[in-house]
Amino acid sequence: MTLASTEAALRALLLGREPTWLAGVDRRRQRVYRDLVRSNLLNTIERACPHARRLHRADFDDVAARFLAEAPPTTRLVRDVPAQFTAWLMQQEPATLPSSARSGAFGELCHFEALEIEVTMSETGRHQTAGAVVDDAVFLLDPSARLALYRHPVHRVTSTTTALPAAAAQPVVLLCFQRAEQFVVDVVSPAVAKLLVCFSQGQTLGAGLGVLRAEAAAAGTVVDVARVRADLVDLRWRGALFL
Amino acid sequence: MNHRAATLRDRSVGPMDRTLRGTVGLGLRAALADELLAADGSAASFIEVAPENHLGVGGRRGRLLAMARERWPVVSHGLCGDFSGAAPVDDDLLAALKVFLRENGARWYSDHLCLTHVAGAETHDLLPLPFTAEAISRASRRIREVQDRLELPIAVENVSAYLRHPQDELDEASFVSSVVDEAGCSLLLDVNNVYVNAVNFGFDPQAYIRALPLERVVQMHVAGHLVEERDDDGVPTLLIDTHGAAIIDPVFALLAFTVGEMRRRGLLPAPVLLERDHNIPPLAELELELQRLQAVVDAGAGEPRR
Repeated sequence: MTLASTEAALRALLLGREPTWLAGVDRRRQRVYRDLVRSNLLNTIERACPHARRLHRADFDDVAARFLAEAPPTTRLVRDVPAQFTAWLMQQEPATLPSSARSGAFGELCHFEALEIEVTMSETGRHQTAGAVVDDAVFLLDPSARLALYRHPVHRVTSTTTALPAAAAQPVVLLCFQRAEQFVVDVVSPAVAKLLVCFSQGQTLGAGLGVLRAEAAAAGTVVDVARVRADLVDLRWRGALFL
Repeated sequence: MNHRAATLRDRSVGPMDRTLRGTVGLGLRAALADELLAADGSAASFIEVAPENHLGVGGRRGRLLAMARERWPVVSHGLCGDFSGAAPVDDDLLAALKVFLRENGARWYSDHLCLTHVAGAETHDLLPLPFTAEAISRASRRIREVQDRLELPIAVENVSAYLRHPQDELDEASFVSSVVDEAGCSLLLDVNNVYVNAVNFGFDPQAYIRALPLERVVQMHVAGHLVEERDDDGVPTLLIDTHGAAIIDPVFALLAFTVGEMRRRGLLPAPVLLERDHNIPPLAELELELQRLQAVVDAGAGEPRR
């Protein structure tokens, strides 16, 4: 038996929905490894998504086991396993998922919960609150900042929530970042979100506002520039942006 | 034994590690870091971290490591080296690791002699290698590559195991020694793992220790374990390496034997790391364990450090 065939046999033993036992090895000893590997990976995923699992435990466990069998982690950093799980989950055809996972809110909640780990473990930047918010200003997003777009207000789920949220009337844009080692979530307007994307591409405030004005003109609306500037000042003050 | 390879590739740690010889250290874990950092003193002379848990990490964990680095030398011990896996070396991870090791003043870098990736999947566990010539060859090649790219000595750790592969061609001590020799690398000797495997597979742990190239040992690990199965007489037959309990007396005794064997060969005792990852007790309890470890090292080495 070569190393390659040994690896394949171990994968089938450890990660398959049902174990494929190695020939000539005590099954109790094989079971030890299967239990160790699976409990470690599944606990990592469960701990990352406590609300999603609490609300639909059986379906969550079923989906997580399917993840291990069909698309097991490839990351060598265990902290990235939940993000790989949620990325896989959100790519699945709803019809193939358990009933509670088909609404989209389930996957979005898992994604949001895993995002909290990613953000709180990220490095942060050196914040500056000086500097004028002028058109040629170049804003930088804090390294911990992440933008997320959801159809459901999953950020409102708490330990007392009893059901997955219904879809919101408008898409929910969240800016998540770390401040004083804590996870912070802000609901931002589509205009601010678009500006943040422009900033992440190195554009100045003036260039970003130009993009917004052009889109607003095409849609027959007007950009509330004063409001947008005020929102940016607030985000800078709170550590999500710096100059 | 491939002595030519050892001569050409030898990056074993030499005089550079002497400052930690004869000392004991503690793994930096989030659950005890605040208490450890707030304490006036500690029996630990160094701390150990898993770089994978710190690469690109800020927030509380990043702050704790920065604070610990101000007080202790930092030893880095990897979790997913996968020295014998078929998956290619992760270039990005290795580059980040190199930066991390430099920033933290690493004198060597250790990881486990095992499989962690299996056929494209990352298990995040330490799986036993088959003790075959093919595994020796692949592991040696990979260790030399990583050693060259990190520009640091690599130490491989003997792992605890719960099964053996039917295709094994060697006993474990011979396998570990062969890899160390072929790769020209160092050894991180986990004394608890030797004890666990001796129970699980029924061999003499002292004979295992004697068979190893102890002059290659740059660091040792000790930890507690779990008794998973016993025979009808209550004698343990299967131990699980949990790092979740206090060190038992037979493991202290095996450490004393190991230090004595090092002394017999004219070697200073390698630094000893207390691993405690689960069921972490109050720091005072760990400090007592560290003090006992230091006493064992001092007694075995023949000349107390303190």
